[in-house]
Amino acid sequence: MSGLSLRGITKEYEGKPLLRGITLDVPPGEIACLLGPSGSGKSTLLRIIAGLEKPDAGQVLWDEQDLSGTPVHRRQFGFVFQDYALFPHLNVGRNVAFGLHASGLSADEIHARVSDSLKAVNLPGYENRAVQELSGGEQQRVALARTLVTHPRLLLLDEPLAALDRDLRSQLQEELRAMLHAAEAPALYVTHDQEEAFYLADRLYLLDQGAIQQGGEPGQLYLHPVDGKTAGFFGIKNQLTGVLSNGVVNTSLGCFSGLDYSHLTPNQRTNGSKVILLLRCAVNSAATRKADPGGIVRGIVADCRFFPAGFQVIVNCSGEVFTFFLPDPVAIGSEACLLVQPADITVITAEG
Amino acid sequence: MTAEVHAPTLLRVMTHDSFAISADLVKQFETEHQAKIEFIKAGDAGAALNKALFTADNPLADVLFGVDNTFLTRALEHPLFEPYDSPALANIPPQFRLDSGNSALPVDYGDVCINYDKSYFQQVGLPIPTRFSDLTKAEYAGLLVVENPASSSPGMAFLLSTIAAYGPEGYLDFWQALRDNGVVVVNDWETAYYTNFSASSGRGPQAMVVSYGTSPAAEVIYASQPVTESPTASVVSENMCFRQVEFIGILRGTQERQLAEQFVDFMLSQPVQEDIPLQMFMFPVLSTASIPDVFVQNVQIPEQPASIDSELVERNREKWLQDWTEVMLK
Amino acid sequence: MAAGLDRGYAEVRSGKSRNWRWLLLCLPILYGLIFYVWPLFQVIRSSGFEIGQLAAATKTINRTVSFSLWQATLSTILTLALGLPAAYVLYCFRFPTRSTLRLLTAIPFILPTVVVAAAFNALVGSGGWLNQVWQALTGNEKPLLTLTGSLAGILLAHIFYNLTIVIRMAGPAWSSLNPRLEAAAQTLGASPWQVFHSVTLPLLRPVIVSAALLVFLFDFTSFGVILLVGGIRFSTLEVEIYRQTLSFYNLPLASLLALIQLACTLAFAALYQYFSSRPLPLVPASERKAARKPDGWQQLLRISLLILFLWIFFAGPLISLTASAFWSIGADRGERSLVNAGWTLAHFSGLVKNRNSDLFYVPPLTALMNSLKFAVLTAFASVGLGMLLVYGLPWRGKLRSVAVILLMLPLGTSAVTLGLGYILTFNKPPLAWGGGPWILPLAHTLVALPFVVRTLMPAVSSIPSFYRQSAAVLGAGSWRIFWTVDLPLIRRVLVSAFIFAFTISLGEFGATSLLYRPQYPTLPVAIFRYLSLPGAANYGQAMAMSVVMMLACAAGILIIEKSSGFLTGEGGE
Repeated sequence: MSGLSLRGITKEYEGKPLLRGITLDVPPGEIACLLGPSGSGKSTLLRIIAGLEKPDAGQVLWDEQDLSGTPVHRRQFGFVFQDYALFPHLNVGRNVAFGLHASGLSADEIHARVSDSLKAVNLPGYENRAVQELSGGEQQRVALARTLVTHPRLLLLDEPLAALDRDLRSQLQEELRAMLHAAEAPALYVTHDQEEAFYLADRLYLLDQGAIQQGGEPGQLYLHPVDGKTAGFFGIKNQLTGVLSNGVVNTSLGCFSGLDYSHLTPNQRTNGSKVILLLRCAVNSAATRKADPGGIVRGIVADCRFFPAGFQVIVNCSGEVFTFFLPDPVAIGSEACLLVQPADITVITAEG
Repeated sequence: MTAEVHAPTLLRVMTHDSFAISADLVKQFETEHQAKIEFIKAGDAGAALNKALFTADNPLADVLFGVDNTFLTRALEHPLFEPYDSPALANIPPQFRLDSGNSALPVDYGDVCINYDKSYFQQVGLPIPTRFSDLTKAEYAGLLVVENPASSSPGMAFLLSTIAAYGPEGYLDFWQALRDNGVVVVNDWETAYYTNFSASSGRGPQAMVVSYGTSPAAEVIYASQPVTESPTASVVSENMCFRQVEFIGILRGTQERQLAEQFVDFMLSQPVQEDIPLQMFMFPVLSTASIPDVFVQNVQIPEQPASIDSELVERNREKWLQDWTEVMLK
Repeated sequence: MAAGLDRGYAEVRSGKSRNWRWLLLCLPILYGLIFYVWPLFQVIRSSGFEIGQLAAATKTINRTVSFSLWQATLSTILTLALGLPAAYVLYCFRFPTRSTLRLLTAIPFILPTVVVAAAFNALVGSGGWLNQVWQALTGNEKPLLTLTGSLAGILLAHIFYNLTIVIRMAGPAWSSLNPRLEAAAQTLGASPWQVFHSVTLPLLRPVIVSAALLVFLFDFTSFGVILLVGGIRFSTLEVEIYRQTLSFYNLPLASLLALIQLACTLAFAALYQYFSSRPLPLVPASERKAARKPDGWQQLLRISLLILFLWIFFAGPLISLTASAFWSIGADRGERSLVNAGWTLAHFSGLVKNRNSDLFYVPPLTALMNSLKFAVLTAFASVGLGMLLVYGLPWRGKLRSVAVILLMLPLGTSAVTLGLGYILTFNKPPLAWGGGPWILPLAHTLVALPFVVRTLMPAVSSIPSFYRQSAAVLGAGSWRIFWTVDLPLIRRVLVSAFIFAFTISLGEFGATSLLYRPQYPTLPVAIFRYLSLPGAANYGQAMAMSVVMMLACAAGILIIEKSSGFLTGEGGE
């Protein structure tokens, strides 16, 4: 059971390349997430996997078998659409039962399965409702139930929560994660929202410029984004550009040495390479005279704002701006010290 | 002396769809009488009459042209027209003056005859039929197309000629025999002539069609390349053609009696009467009117056309039509 | 956020909007009363109609009604069977000659029956091209096909005429369906046939039933085709009414038949209401599946066969017709061979000559301009009234159902009866008509209005409410909402409706023949004039005039389609 494999999927759109040789393996039993900005072709990739579109080149494999000759309705891949695509001429129960008709089950069995499915998505007893009466969240759940009830061997979700408002989205995220795990279905989830991606994914892939920029465990990705652009996409804020030469990175705030360059490729380590330092350090408003093995970068507090997660403090260090979250408020204009240890700094390439 | 100029008076003339006249003649009339003529085309002869009857309380027009001899009784009985003793009547032979009260004045006449395809008959070596009974013979099987009398004026005329020949008791047997001999019946003249007739542009399967006596002349006049003689001719043997006479009348209740009278005189005047053949493909009733050469050369005028008393037609029309329909549709 | 599809304005129902509604409905109601109810009432009242006469005519009535129903049902089924695949192919796929083929299927609708009969005759008549070839190949004297005088001929002619109704109603709706619904069905394991059967067809049902009803009504009240192609054996209600009114002058029976026809129409319309009322899940242009190329060789083969068939079926007779306009039969015709025949432009040049200074000569340009003027006026009037009706009627409820049913009545009303009614009504003050031409577009609007409304209604009622609401929240007033939200969404359907009304007016002959005056001749009238006299030149010129008419229709449709994009800022199709 090797699950889904993509080999060299290429697709053009209106003469311009959209997907360039996507190669990807999604092992079974995981929720894999495809994260990418709008227009990156992630929906198209999903549709190609489902068979709704044909790639210009490349193959979609399931368990090592090429699916090029398999039409959509035989692939047994469930698909949840962004606009739910519930059949307006059928009620909820019939919508959910839709995929079961060909399975040879008796009417009672179908009824039972539909009922269970609706319970699993927290909509018990909704069978006879009209889909037009449901709220967005309810419709999404029905769409999910409709797909899950057929026990697909892979679940494809195309930004299913994008049409919902924020509170509903976070609530549904939790439920979705629970439902997907309970269904034990491998899933490929596409989104542009990095928070959602980090929350749901067991494995995360970043799709940009038509290629997979980086893939792996979310935690790993966050710690070690492959380049500056990716870091920005992950929402990593505290970046400092610099030039690496002779083992030392020169930045506008000073020289940093003793850093860990193991995650850079040899190419990226040559003298003169542009790098970005990701500062994951603590900030202290009081300057300490304690001699630290690391260094201190001083700056002025530019702004302090209340957030439920903590006070967002913006520190200006000689023109470079850094953002931190602190439990207590800090006076604007006061001095702040960044305590920088080599262990707190991640070096990534600026190229890419 | 100053000339008085007043707005032209409007004269409304209702006619059937086949009415045609030279624009110059009309203009002449309009200038002479300071009038403006508005023509209202109202369908075929029967339809126009029925429309006039329907609106008799509030007439649509001042003059109605196109009532033919088969509808004469209906028009006179109503009564639809106001009598007018036109001076022009003096020059019209009595055989056309079917209304002694001069409410309906004759304008033109024509014959409904079987037209046949000359070259077909020549090729096959078939003699031209001379009697109705010939049409039921095997050598003429499937060669005749007729129109439904219920929806076609020439069709009705042909039916009446068979009734004139065989009498109201015997005509149905004749039609049964015709039917057994493969006669084709269609609903209107256009289909019969242009789809079924072999000598027209439609190049249909039937070599004989019920049409007008003047159709052969039209074939010459309207040929797409000049021809010396007509490709068709009419069967004008005794009693095989039906004589149609068309009448004009001043509608009862008209506000323009004087102008209407002048128009009737105009229709019976020499220039208009001589204009009629090439416009309407009918013959003028005026004995002094000359006929164009192309008509003289190509139209055969029956010496003994069939005719039926108008009143008899009026009383029995529906019954005859029903009976005929039964026989032909069974 | 509610994404309900059919809430429409229901949530914004206030006293103000209700008054608004009645204001919108004023004009259509007035129009209906003056130009339909009153004339009809006049005719029936003055016909001297008595119930007692029913008994005598039962046999005729039975025969006529059952035949009308029978041939209409058969015709409709066949038209749908060909029309639905045709709609699918013509609107959801992209292939060369697509726009031409679409245009071609619309042309028969406007041609007078005489011309269509001539076109078929030129192709498959006993002297037509097909038989010529057959006879040349096999030396067989007997013609291969004889279609006139047969039920098959009637059915074929009906399909030829009415296919465009199914295509133009079902096509745009089909191509505007939310493509994700079918995709979802596929991912749930439905094969292409199952997708069609359990998703597409149910979704399209309202528009299919709508189209079927219109086709049925047209076939039920068929006149010219029955008369010309059917021969004397066949008679529908409309033909009987014509005969009874104008030939037999049996007005009581004619009125009775007219009432029966009306009652049948009411029944069908009510049946339709019962069977469907669901809105269509349409999506805006940006979300639609673009017309695509065929997928795989099987699909390519099937589609190519259908396209080929449509081309032959439509282009065949029309090209034969056009050929006849350029063809001159030689001097010794009557022989069964082509002697001295040749191609010529004489028929066209003959159109512009007034041969014997005939007063009633119709210059082709005049006839063309008149026809086009009437057609454009009719189109604007019916679309205008139609929009007032669609937006004025409540979105749901008894009143709407009743109104929609009543709307179908003009289609089921005999043109002869109505024509007579018009003559009676507009003959005297205060509604004196004076013989002006404006009565014609108004009469044509009566026939076009049901089409327009039936085409627009499903589309307008399907506009998702949140589109309008979001515009309203942004400060747009009702008019602006209409202009920026509704119009672009229903643009395709609006264009379709406009074209319908345009072509209906161009081809309307029944009411026109009763109401027109020689001062305002139209193209069909001109064609008829040529055909009423014998002579090859006359026939040729009638064909030439028909070609002019076809071109005028095609040009009109093209212009409408192109300018529709201009109107709402979107690209054309």
